[in-house]
Formats: sequence, C-alpha cells, structure tokens
Amino acid sequence: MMNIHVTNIKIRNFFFLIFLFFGLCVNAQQDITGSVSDESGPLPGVTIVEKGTTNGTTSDFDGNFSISVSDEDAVLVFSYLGFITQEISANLDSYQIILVEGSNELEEVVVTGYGTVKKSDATGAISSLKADDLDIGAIVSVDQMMQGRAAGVQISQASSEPGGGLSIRIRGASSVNASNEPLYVIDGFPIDNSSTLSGSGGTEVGVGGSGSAQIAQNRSPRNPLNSINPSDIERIEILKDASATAIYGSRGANGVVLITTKRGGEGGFKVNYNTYIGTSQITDRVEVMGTEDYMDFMDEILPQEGDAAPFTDQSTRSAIGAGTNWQDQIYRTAFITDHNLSLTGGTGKTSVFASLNYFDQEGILDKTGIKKYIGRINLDTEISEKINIGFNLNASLINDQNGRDGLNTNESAGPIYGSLLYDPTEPVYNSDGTFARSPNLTTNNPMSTLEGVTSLAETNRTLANFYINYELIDGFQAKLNLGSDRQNMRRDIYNSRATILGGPVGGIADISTLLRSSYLGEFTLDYNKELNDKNTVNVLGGVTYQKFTNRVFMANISGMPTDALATNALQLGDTNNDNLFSLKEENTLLSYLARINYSFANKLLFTGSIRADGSSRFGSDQKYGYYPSFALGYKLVEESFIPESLSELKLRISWGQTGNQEIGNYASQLTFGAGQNVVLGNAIVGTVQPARLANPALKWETTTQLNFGIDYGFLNDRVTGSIDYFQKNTTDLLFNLPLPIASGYSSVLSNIGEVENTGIEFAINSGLITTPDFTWNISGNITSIKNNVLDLGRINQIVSGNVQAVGGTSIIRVGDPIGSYWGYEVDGIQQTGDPNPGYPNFVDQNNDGTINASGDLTVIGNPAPDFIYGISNNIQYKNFGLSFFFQGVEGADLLNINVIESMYPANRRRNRIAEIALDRWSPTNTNAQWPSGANSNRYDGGKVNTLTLQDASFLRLKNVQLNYDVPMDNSNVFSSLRLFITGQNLLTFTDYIGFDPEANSFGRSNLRVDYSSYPLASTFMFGLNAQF
Amino acid sequence: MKIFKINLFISFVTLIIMTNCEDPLEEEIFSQLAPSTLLINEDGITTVLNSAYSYAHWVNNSVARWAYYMNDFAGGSIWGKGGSIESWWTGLTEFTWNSTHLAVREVWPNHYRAIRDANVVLDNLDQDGLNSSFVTLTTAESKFIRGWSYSQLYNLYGPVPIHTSGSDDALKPRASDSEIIAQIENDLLESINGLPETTDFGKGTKGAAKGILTKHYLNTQQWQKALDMAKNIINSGQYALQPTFQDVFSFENEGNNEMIWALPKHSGSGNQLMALQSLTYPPNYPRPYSNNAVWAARTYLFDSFIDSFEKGDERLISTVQQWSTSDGTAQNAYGYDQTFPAKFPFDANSLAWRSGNDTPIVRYSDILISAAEAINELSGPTQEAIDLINQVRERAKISLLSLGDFNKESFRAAIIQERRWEFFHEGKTREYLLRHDLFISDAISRGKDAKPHHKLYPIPQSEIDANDLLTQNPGY
Repeated sequence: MMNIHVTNIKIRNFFFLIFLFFGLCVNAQQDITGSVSDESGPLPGVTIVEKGTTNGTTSDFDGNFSISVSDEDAVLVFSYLGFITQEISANLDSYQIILVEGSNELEEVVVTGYGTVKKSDATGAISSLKADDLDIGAIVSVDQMMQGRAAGVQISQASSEPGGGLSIRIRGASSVNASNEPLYVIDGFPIDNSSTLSGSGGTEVGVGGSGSAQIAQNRSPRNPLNSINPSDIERIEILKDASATAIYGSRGANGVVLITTKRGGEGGFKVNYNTYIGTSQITDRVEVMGTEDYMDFMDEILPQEGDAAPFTDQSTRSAIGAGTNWQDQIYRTAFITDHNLSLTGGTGKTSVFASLNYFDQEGILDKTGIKKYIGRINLDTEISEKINIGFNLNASLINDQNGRDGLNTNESAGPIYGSLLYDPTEPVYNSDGTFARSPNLTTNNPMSTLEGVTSLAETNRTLANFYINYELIDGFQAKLNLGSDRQNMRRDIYNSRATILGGPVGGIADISTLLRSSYLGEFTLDYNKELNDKNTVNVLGGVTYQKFTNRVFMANISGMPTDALATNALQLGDTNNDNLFSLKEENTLLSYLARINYSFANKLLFTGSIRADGSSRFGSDQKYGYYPSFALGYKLVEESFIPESLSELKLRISWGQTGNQEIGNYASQLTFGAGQNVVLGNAIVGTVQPARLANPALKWETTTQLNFGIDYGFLNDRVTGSIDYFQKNTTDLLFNLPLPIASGYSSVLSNIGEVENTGIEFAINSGLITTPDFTWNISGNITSIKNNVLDLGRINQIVSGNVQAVGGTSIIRVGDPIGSYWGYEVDGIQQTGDPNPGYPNFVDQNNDGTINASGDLTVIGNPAPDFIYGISNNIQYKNFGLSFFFQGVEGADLLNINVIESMYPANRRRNRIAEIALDRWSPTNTNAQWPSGANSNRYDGGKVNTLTLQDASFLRLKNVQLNYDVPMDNSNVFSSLRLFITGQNLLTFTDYIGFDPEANSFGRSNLRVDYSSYPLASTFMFGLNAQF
Repeated sequence: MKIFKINLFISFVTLIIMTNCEDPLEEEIFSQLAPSTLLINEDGITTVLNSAYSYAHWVNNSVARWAYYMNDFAGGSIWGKGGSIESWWTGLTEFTWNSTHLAVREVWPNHYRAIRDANVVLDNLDQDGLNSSFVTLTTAESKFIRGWSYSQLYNLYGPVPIHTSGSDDALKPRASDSEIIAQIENDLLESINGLPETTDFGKGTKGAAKGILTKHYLNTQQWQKALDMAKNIINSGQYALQPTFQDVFSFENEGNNEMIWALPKHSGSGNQLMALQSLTYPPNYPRPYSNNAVWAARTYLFDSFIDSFEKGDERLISTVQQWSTSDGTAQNAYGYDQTFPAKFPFDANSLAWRSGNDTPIVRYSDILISAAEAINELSGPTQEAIDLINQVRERAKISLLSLGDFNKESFRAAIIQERRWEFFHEGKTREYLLRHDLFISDAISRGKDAKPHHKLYPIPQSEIDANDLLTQNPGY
C-alpha cells in the first residue's frame, strides 16, 4: 500500500500514458530520462529500479537520471531514504518526479497471530523488527538479532559459546517454576523451543537422565533456534501485551515472537550472495596472579595456615622460571566463515525464495565451535484466482563442539575453571609428554580437560509447513495450515584417561540422543469486510491441534580398551560399568480461537479475542483454559483538534489473560520411576520409587495484563515511537510448593501464589539528519521493569539456586523480586585489634551477637536490572554507511562463583583472581577491599555476601559496521555490490569481575550465577554482499 | 456450492484431528509406572521395598559420608582439610553448624525417603493375591527399615514427625519424645518376628533388628532392655569376633559374622559409594591400584589419639603414620596430627573414588561392649562386664582388664576409651559421648564453642520453611 503523491504534472502524464498505451506500438527497448526532486530542489542519489529486475540506476547530482527498460509494461520504482517510495509505469520518455518526505511505515502491515494488521490499526503492544537492519555481525541464531533492539525485551546470552543458549524475558519473569521463555512462531508454525541436550549430555527433557560422562554439568542448553538461518528472516514481531498474545492462549504469557521468513516476488529472479570472514579473540580475561605473585602469595599465606612456605628457596624459583599462563594455553584466535546464497523471485503465478547457508564459527576456547548447514525453500503459487498454496521447508545440520565447563568444581570441572586457579608454577606437560598433574591439587590440568575430553553434537532439524488458502467469497478466506518439526540430536562425550576421572576407570564414553517432533494441524476462517468508507470489520475463527513427542536414549560405559575408540565402540567397554536410560513422552494441545477487529470511522479501533486451549498436561478436570482479551485504539491524529505537527498519535489500551503450560509432562499424576540401585546379596539391583505426589486439580497458570500505550510521530514522521506502561499479574502460579520432606516428597506442583511485573517501555526512532548526501538515523529503546513476588501461599520463602560447595544462592519470597540474592552483608575488613584481623566483617543483622543463618541472612541483590536500553545509529554518506549499536543493562547484580572460589579457595595451593589476591588485607594494607586470604574456611557468615556479589551493570558497543556500496553501471554483472567490515563486542564498560556480566550458568533460569562461563569474544569481520 | 466447500474443509480438518486419537488430551504415560500397574503383585511391591533398602543403605555417597562425619568430626575424633568439603567439615569441628549445613540437609531427606518407600509398601500389602508368607516377610522388612531410619533421625535431630502411611497428612508436627522412642522400639520389635535368621547380605535379619534395637535402648538409657537385647544376640551364637581387627574390614571377608548390620557397597556402576579413602589420602599417596582415585580433601587422626593406644595394639595397624609419596619422598604424618585412618582398605575393583567397602553399623564387638556398658550403668563393673570388654581387647592384643581396678566411673571411662580405639573412623563418637553426657564438655575441653543445644542437630531450614507445624530445635 504505497502512498503516492501525485502532482498535476504527474496526472497529465498519466492520461498521456494511457493514451500511449492504447494508441501506440511501443518499441521493446525503451530509453527513459527524467529528473527527481523534493519540495526544495533536485534529489541526487535516488535509487531507480525497474521493478522485478536487477536493472537500475541512481539520480545524478542535479537529480537527473536515464535508464533503459525492457518494454512498455515496465514499472519504475523510485526510492530514497526518508522519502515515500513511488512506483511509475515506464511508458513515457521523460518524467519529472517529486518525492515526498516521510516513511512508508504507517501503511506498513505488522504480522499478528494468525493474520496481519495495518500498523496504523494495530491495537496491541508489538515491536516490529526488520531483519535487514539487524543482521549485523556473526549472528548464529535469530534471537541474537533481537538483542537490545526492542523495548520490553531482555535478551541475555546465557553462554557466549558459539551456538550457546539465550535467555529471553519479554516483560519480566512471570513464573517461578514454569518456563519464562516466549513462544516462537515461524511462518505461522509454533515451534517447540524447549531445551535440547546440553553440552554435558544431560537433558531437561522429562524425568531424570543426566549425562554421566562425569564432566561438569552444563545447564546452558544449545540454542534450538540455531537451525534457522538468520539471513532468511524478513521480519520479526514481538507480541508483548495480552491483546496481541492472548490469541496464543496457554503459550502466550511469556510473549510471542513471530518470525517471518523471506518469500519470492514477481518478475524474474535475483541472486544474492553474502559472505564474510572474521577472527575472534577473548574480550577480557579475568586476570589471575602471575607466577611471581603466586609464589610470593603462597610464601606469605601458607605459613599463616600452618603449612610450610613452598617457594622460599631461590633454586626452586629459578627452576620454575616463567611458569605457565594457563589462559594463554586454552584461548586462541578463532576464525569465522559465513557463506549465504539466496534466490528470490518468481515467474507467472509462482514465486520462490531459496537459500543455502554455510556457517563455521570457531570458539575462542580451543576445541569449541559450531558448523551449520542450512537450506530453505519457500514456495507460493496461485493455483486459481481463489486458491493459493504455499510450502516452506527448512532443513539444517548443525555440528557442535562444546566446552566442558559447568556447575561443578574440583576434578569434575573444565578448562576455563582450571585456567583460573591452576598452579602457574606447574608445566603443561611432563618430560614424557603426558599432562603434568600437580600433587597439591585435585583439579585437572586445564590442558588435560581441553585435550582429553570431547563433547560433540550433531543436530538435524527439519521444519516444514504447508498451507492452502481458499477465498470462499470476496474477503472470506479459509486456510488450512499443516506443519511438522522434527529434531534429531545426538551428543557424543568422551572423557579420556588424560583426566583425573577418566584415568582410573579407563575412559568414559557417553552417547545421548534426543528425537523431538511436533506436528500441527490448523484451520482458520477469516472474513474481512469494508462496511463503508470508514468502517471495516475483520473476523477470525479457527481450530488448531498440535502434538509433541520426545524420545531420549542415553548410554554410557567406562573401561574402554583404548582412548582411540572414543564413543565409536561402546560394546568394547566394561559392561559391568555401564548405564542406560531411555524415555518417551508426549503432550497435546487442542485449541479453538476467535478474534474480531473493528475499525470505526478510521478513528476508533476495537480488538477482541478469545482462545480456548486444552492441554494434556493438566489434571483430568482442568484440561481447558479460556483466554480472553480486549483492546481499544483511538487514532487521535485523525481528529481535527490535533496540531499538524503531530503526524501520528494513537492511544491504545488493552486487557487480557494468557496462560503458561511449560511445566513438563505428567506433573499432575502420581507415577513411579527409577530409584537408586541397591546392593542385595552382592548383586546390584534396580529399584522403583514414587516420582511425585499427584495433583489432579493442577491447572493453568494465568497472567492478566493491562497495557496503556501511545504511538507518536512528529515532523512528518521524522520522529516516531511509542510509550507503553504495563501491569502483568500472574496468578495460580505453577509452583513447586515445598513440602516437608518428612512426607517423603520435597514438593508438589500446585497453583499457588502471585507474581507481578510492572514496567514502562519507551521507543524512539528519529531521522536526525536527512540531507540527500548525508543521513543519520538514530533509534533507541529503554525499559524499566519491576518484578515482585506478591504471594506464595502458606510458604514464606524458598532458598534455591544451589551450587556445589556454596549452597543456596537465591531466594524467592514475598515482597522481593524472583531469585534475589540471599546472603550476608560485609562491612569492610576486620582491622588489627578486632577479633580476627584480615577477616571480613559480617554484619550482625539481628544483633544477637553471632553471625548465623537464622537472622543475619538478607537480600543483598537482584539479578534483574533496574533498566535495560539499546541505542542504534545508522549513518549514510553517499556510498558509505556506518552503523553502530550500543546495548546496556543497569542495576543488575550477578554472583560470580569463580570470585567465591578465589575468596574461599577449596585448596590453598590454588591460584586466585589477581584483584582479590593482590588487594588483600594485611597489617600494611589496611585499606584493602578484600580479606587477607588466610584461613578463609574460618570466616563466619557465608560465601554469598556483598563482597562476592558483583554489580553486573554494563554498557556494550555491540556492533559497529562500516560499509561501502560500489557504484554500478548497467553493464555490470552485479546489480549491487556492498563491502563491509564489522566489529562485534568491541567495548564493554563494566565494574564486573568476570568474563561477561550477562552470563548465566543456570541457563535460562530466573536464578543467575556465573560459574566458569564461556568468555565473550570480540570479533572483526570483513565481507561482501553481491546481487546478480 | 460455497457451503459445500466450507463443509469439505471442515470435514478434512476434523478428520485429521480425529484420526490421531480418541481423546486427544488424554495423557499417556510411557516411561514411568502408575500405581495401578506397579503395586499389584509381589514383584512390583518388591521393587519399591528395594528402593527403601537403597535409602536405608545410604546409597547416595554424600549421605553416607555425612551420616558418618556428623558423628566423628563433631565428636572430635577426626579432623581434616582440603577441598571444598573443608568448610563444611570446619562447621562440624568448630560447632558452628546451622540449619543450612550440608550434613544437616543431606541426611534428613534420605532417611525420610526410606520411610516413605516403606510406608508405600505397607500401604499396599492388604490386597488379594499376595502370598501370606510374602506379606509377613515384607511387612517385617518394611518395619525394620522404618525403625532403623527413625532411630537415626531421632539420634541426630531429636523427636521428629512420624509418618506411618502414605496417606498421612504431609504437614505434621513433631512427635513427643516418648512417641518416637516407642515408634522405633515397636517397629523393630515387630520386625524381629517376621525377619529370617539369615538372608541375602544387606537385607534385614533378626540379628540386625536386635542390634539396632540394642543401640536404641542404649542411646535412650534403657539399660536393662539394652542388656537383655545384647545378651539375646550374644546367646544366639550366630555372631563372633573375627580373628584380627583387619579381618573385619577386608574385602575377602565381606559379610563376615561380626557384621550384625552393615550397609553393603559395591564399586559397580550406578551405585554411589562412601568413598572414605578418597577423602583420606593426598593425591601423591601411592595407591595400590591404578583404578583408585582421591579427592581434594584429607582426613586425619590426632597424635594424641595415636599416643593413647597401648603398645602393640593391633588396631594401630589400621593407621598410616609414615608414608612415602609416589616418587619416594618420605612423609611423616604422625607428629603433625596427620595420621591417616586406614581402616578401610583400597579396593582392587574400584572405579576411581568408587570402592566397595561395606559400611559397618553394628558390629559384634559393639554388642559385647554395649552389654558391658549396660551392666556397668545398672550395677557397676562386674566380672561378666570385664570379660565382655576383654574379648575385644584380647583380639587387639592388649592387656586384659581386671575387675578390682575399676569402680563404676572408671569402668565407664575405660569403656569409652575402648570405644574410641575400636570404632575410630566408624561414625560412632558423638553417639557414645552423648549418652554419657560428655559430648559438650569434651568439645569445650577441646576449645570449641559448644553449647547444650548442640546435642541435637537443627532440622533443615527448608523443612521448617515448608511446614508451619514444625518447631526448630531450641538454640538454632
């Protein structure tokens, strides 16, 4: 729906054109000249393209252009940033075109659930992202593209490992125990985005089944969206308020992300080739003590703990020499390669988009990385005037090589963990070439876990959907949509003899497989009627059915005859030492939906929707939940009393209810599952034990959301944006109600409690400068969300977030945000004369004279930020473009377990983070921030305290891209050629001690800790984009 | 025409949906079992009984260790350092534990899960089709496990809530002291009738139930009942001391008739072991088998303990006072309070830290000493009591006691000393100090900040948080 400004000249030309069309026989090849201007004069640099072809030119400095078109049916498209695009039939010889400022945006449509709506008629809170603006840098998955771009959406890279999972919170964390991740809908097909096998082989799928290769437990799942090629994406809509999401009912409470992939067009074919290569390096190391500092430290501290000083002898020191910098050993300069080839176009009534993608990203940690091979075909064809059919197919193969770090300590931990604490006086190798192992430490030499443990995964995922659309009568469409999503993942882990755990048992081989599938059948009827000039009505109704299946098989065995076999011959292991696990589970959704959109006098907009959702997961009497929503929009800008300077003003108000069913299967039933093995009569015997208490009344969690919004635009839409306020209350929480274990069960999943999220979102987009040669567009968003637990039934608090050797880190209790940090307050360091000089001074909150858990623990921080923001800039000067994008988080805390390990080393001979060790208290450094480091086991209080908790606020220069469009004349083989260099994660401003203030070793949880998380990489890339 | 086409469409969709299943939202279970398919025959019920056994055996290695350490570290008979476990150990040795201490958190749920599974079994024995001998035996085994589990809970946490059926209210207040004492006694007494004299090693026997009951009577200072039950065991003639102290714990001699109640362990897969050796020796200790592994922490005995032994006491063979590192460097452990307790030998079949040393709970020597202890508390030292102790001393190859040297107090002290020697590193210290009211005074004399409330461990904080009816032990 282009808004074409037609001048008088244009109208005359138009009639003349018609005359010519009927009256003349036109030459096949036709030369056209003309000029382009705006209100103030000639416009240079306007792009003029023959529609549907690659034939094009640009206007010169005086606004003049000339172009040869193929025939008299050709259409010329005039486009220029900041101006409304015009299309002109090219059957005159000469044109004078006047472009009008403004954007095409208002008449744009936005994609909504089960349909589209004119952006100006949208009543819901929806963030629209056009992928062209986003595909910057080494992007592995779609969700990474959205990071920092949309108000109200917090996207955290839980693991910076290539292909690592992200955690997404749309308008805050609303559920304690059910999932908080949004629903993803790709081209109308809701996909299963639940976690897959993690790097340690474990799975969150169903009951039990943790990987048993005895490597650190990695709770960061691989990103299920890795199987979608980011370059295939046309646009992303993020549905935020209940008016937009209620149509997805029981899966709408965490927001919905609608992904629309590119489709073919008309008239001829275009081929696009995009490629880049790049290198990555670790952004910031966590500095640990060097060899000299380490030896001095040990000589000072060990005698205070009753051990001998180990490095007093000068000959010992000279034998050690420079020692080993373990971080130098495990990190590398990593390479990235991406090739993306796509075909867009169509002939006659069939259009096609097809693409192939190869992506290879090495991780900055040696022996990690991801390789992706993805192909897509989107096909649409008009079978008859009334029937359209379409078919989307996305096939992918992903090879992952994963890190080995996770939530475990000591011998179970991986190379990143080891590199932060391994003795720098130790060599990497013994003289015989085997890995050196310190007699003082029971932690692996970091290189032995890097080289000695492999974790490889292969994932095939095929998404296919087919639709047929039939126009029954004018404006009345029936649509059938069928989809299938099949994922097949296999992970192979081998823990060799090089490690402390693999050695004594002769290697451990572990294979896990996950087969996950879902299929969809969906039928909708859509009626669109323009009642008169101003009033239109749209009615939608439908039924949809989706079934999900998971099957898991895991096996591991130790005692392999040689490490060379890895996981390729499990039958050769010691069959007395094997484990088997398998699982099958299914769940089903059957839903009915309806929606009405009514536009009155083009001023008042009304949307009402309802979905009745049935889920197999709930108690027998509670299968169905009903999710209504209402929204009103008032297009104030259409009123005469609104000043001309406002080009857009719309008020929106919506209310609705959505649900959450992401609780896993069988939660309402009493079932029995595998228990522990037991030795009876010298034989190992398997057992069966109750898995949970039944709760036949288990039902949906309901989120009620109220939203007030304003869409605004000034100065002919040079400044546009929106402001939204929301209040989101989640009741009947799907909550693991703690039970006294004396009952035999630790909890029962119940509908209890309430969580509230309130927030304000602000988005702005402005064409700061819009001169012909020079444009600068700036857009930004900022969001502030307050999360608060309002009710937990009979429970006052739940301490959770357990970490080995630390204990509980977080608390869920009424009056505080979910997952607040629960620890001790430290008030400086005790000084000479105090009872324990050099010890932290823990605050006695209840003044009972002792520091203990019952009274001195307090909420010391919050993992959720006060506000998040993003600012992007696009600058265009002639053929040069520069874009840069900042992303920031303010007021979030993060508990870094590596900091705890440094302050409370489990072994005295471990190295420590330099800042903590070197700024330690001593009688001569009384102003130190950190305690003396001696006898840390005797500090009172606890390891979760205000010293170890870090401020995780940051501001990051996420992307910078400089590009150059090579000028093309008609004769060139390319229709366009763009060269670019990109920098990613170049700068981060933060006080956080650790690799990345965004990391979360708990994966997608609302509880957050950073434990040996994969460091962030800075990346430089060079690439080109060519169109043929 | 149009209507026809709409109908066609709708029929098509309906067809797709309906062909899939009759009731599309019925939740079908594939990988788990429902009560209606599991608890209907002897095999099904036995698998749940075996789960109860697994908890009764402390199959989880962390539970097993902490159940030991809550007695020995707090009792002051061992100490240790290194590894992330050290701070938890420090909490026990320094009397700074609280309701979130790992030991407190680990042990409680284990014992209650044993009780849960025993109750599930007992709830399902009243049905047709079960053989009556099966019902009798299974009832006895379930009550044996329940009695054993409550006796440990009571020992550590005091009177705790009693659940005797799966249909009990989940939220229950504490039982009274007399209620829990009676519950333990009744469960064990009832189990004695139905249990066999001998059976597969690891299952409940008459002797095991009597042994646990003897210790229960002793700990609750029911001296006469304790004496009667101990004599009952001694007179059964089923049990005997092994020829040497080391024979009791050797792999070759697993299931020997000194082990009245021991928790069987196996290095095989899927079974977590106690791993005491892995927390005893340093990484450079020359381990006899390449498949042995150790963790980061070490457990030590004090020099004063080594010094307390009579010369020639063969029990000292089960300690390591000097050793050489794997590269031959000599190390003195004695002299630094760092003697290793070596009661549990390395396992030739171990898988890294996993080793198959059985965990002794009630040994015949304990019954002998218990009988002597009960006699002394009832009537002061007698020749019978002296002879009982001397059986144990004779095996250790140390001097025999004579009646004339002792009054009630000094004989009590000798019994306690004998227990220190005989049961070091066996998770018994706190228990025998407590019943003679020495636990706190002994700790104070070691310089610890021990208070009367430390006689009981606190109930785990999460348990208090989850149950309004439950009150914490005083002092916490």
